[in-house]
Amino acid sequence: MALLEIKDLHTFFDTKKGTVKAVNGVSYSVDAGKTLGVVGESGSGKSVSAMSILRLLDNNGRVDSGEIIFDGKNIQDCTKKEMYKIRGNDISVIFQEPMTSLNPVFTIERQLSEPFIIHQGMKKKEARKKVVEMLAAVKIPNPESVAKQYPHQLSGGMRQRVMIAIALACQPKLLIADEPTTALDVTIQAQILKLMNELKKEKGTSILFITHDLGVINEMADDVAVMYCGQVVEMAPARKIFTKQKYSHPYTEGLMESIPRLDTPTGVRLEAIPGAVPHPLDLPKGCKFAPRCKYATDKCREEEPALVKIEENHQIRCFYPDKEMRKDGK
Amino acid sequence: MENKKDKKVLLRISNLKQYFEVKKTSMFQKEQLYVKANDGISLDIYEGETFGLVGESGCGKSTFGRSLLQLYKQTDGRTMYYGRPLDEIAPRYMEETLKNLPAKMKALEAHQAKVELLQKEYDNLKTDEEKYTMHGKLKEAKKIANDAFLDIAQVIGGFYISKDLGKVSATFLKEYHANVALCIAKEELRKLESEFEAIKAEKEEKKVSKSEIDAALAKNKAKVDAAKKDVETKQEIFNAAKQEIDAMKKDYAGNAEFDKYETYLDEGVDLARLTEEEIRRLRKDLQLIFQDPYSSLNPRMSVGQIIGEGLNAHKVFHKNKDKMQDYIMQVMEDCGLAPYMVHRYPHQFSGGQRQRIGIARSLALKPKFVVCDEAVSALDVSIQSQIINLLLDLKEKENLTYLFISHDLSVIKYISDRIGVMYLGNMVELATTTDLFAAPMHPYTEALLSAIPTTDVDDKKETILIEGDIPSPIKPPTGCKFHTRCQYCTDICKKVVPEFEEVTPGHFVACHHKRNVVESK
Repeated sequence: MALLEIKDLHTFFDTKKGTVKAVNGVSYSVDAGKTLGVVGESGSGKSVSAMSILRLLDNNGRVDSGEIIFDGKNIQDCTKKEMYKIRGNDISVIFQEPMTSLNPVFTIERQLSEPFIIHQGMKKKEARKKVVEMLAAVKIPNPESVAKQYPHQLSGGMRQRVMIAIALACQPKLLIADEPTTALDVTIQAQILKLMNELKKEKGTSILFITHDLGVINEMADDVAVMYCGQVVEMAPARKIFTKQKYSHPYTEGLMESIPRLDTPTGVRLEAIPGAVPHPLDLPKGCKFAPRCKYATDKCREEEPALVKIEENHQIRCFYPDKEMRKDGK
Repeated sequence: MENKKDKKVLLRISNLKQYFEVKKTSMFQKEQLYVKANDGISLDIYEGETFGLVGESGCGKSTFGRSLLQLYKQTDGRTMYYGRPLDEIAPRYMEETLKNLPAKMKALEAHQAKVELLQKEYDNLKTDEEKYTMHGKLKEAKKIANDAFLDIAQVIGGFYISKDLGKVSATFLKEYHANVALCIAKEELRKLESEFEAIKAEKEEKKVSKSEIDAALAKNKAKVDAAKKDVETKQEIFNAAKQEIDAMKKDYAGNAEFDKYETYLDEGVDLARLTEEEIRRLRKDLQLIFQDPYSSLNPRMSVGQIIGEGLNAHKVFHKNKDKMQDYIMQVMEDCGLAPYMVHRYPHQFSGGQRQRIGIARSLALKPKFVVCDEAVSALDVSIQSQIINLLLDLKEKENLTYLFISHDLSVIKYISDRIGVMYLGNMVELATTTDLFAAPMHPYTEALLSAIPTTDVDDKKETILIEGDIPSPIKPPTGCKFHTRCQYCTDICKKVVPEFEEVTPGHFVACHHKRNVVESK
């Protein structure tokens, strides 16, 4: 059963120049104990869709319509107070920038004991014990002394470990990881990814993993949602996305071909997707990807395709999902 | 690599050091601490290749790129640039060496005597421990002596063995001064000619009558002719000076020792010792593409101004605006920018387009060597491949040499011919791309390669995790700097700094246990 289900979510931002439809009809679900990877370019709405769940939007943002069902309950109906109880307890977040997401004027201990005190009603002393336990769980060497330190005394990788410890403090059912390793070096990234996978196995936490790095998605995710211009364009198990399949969305296909991989022979030109992501205030009519799509027809430019189930566990938003047919120009 | 010798070296960097002073924490602190961002890097960059540089953040790869271009004054080491004939630059430091030749020779002899003394002392030492402490001292002394020797030999070559240094100094100085005068005359002529062209174009545009054009040009024409004559006479003086040196060489014909030292003559320019004005003139050849396309463009300048800034600074189109405008359009087209964008400002562009502007700006001056400092790291995946393709196309067309700095190994692998891996200010491994990926010899490279997330679902390879973080470059670990995180670490690693040596042709590694790494596979 799905732990989190988002149905036809629309999140808009009101700006001086008009309404930005950052998330425009997104539906996805995260199964219990599984990881859903959300991948897309900047501005595709992957972070906004996740932040809408916890109502962590900027002041000018609002969820226009759609349902967010968490653990069988529509959390859109929750009051502010009820949301406080969910945040950090049932659902918690790891942000991208470990530098700015920790408070620089409080010690690690103080910040990490907060969820225990607020959500589990612990006394400070008890919480302190738990803090050391948590720091040890995320494999920080000498947790006792690190607990007394301030964020600036730790390296980027260590800070991200602390963030993970805070997020996992109350054993949440769902963990939202918003580009948790983007700011880190590859060797540190490998450490953090391994840690997250271990903790997931141990505690059975579901993860909503947001990133633009397809390689990271492959290491982490069970299912993948590919987003483009505020919409999900393809959704399938990771295996289907990363292996050659009969059906795929042209955007996914382009992404896979355009990244240089370790096995890409040198000297062969990369298949680049031409053009750039359209401006959110000036979205094209019809299929949002049509202006950059090499297979686009007049139909694509006029009508907007719906997210259609092509086969079991595989949804694509394209009129021509069949790769072979597309190439023949039908 | 056998064909290595056929390739022309563009830059030869030896023992480049870049230290930054750390602010003292209290007035009682006696010792001045340094951040050793680059700690003795040596490598050759060949003409027309792409040299990739990888490493974690803080390992000094960006610093290295900037020190090469002398955007930071390098603390120590030589950076020889072979992109232009030495005569064209006529660097000031040559004059200085030539003038003080006898004094320099004396200093060199003193250095050499000191090395000999130390060497004797070293040979008499018994325990390894003592030998090791002594080794550092000896190495340092040898380096100083060698530098002093090269200073002299690179300029006068075989005359190093000459008894009459005063005469050598005088003759060479004469040639040098003749050369400088010639360079100035040539530059003047180029300027006048360009001015002449500009006036002609301007008058023709205004559609004035032919006689009027001729009248206006007559004055300039006279100037140009005078300049031409000047260049000719200067050229003759220079040739005469050269012949004088050749005549001196005849005395040494057949002298084996003379020929041996003659090979030290170096046509390169040591960038590190150029004056600010000299390096400024060379910047035309040495360009940089920055990482962040948002902050590297001046928001108050239009695209045309940004691209034209370098052209103006180097007076490429002296007072000839039309020609420059046409040229800017041409460069923009080459970099995939539409002509109508020339009057727009940076904020009107997307990240990918801005990076194209940055590329156009650096390529407008027709450089020979470009440092791409994380040029595609800030871009989205689909844009990244566009920019990589553009960089490769331009390289082919203009025969550029790139130093491509990135932390993304997949990109580095795709774009580079050779790769250098850096760790904490040192080069730890250097090899061709194929060699490096097929058989990494340094444990750090090995771990780095295995840490890259791949998009291959059936990839079953075991990730080698390196524990811990990069140590502080202010107090780097003793011995091999990687030993704190290395799984093969033994006692020797903690004490002795491994040499950066060629293990197989073209494959350099700095590790005590490199063979173990290969065997364990």
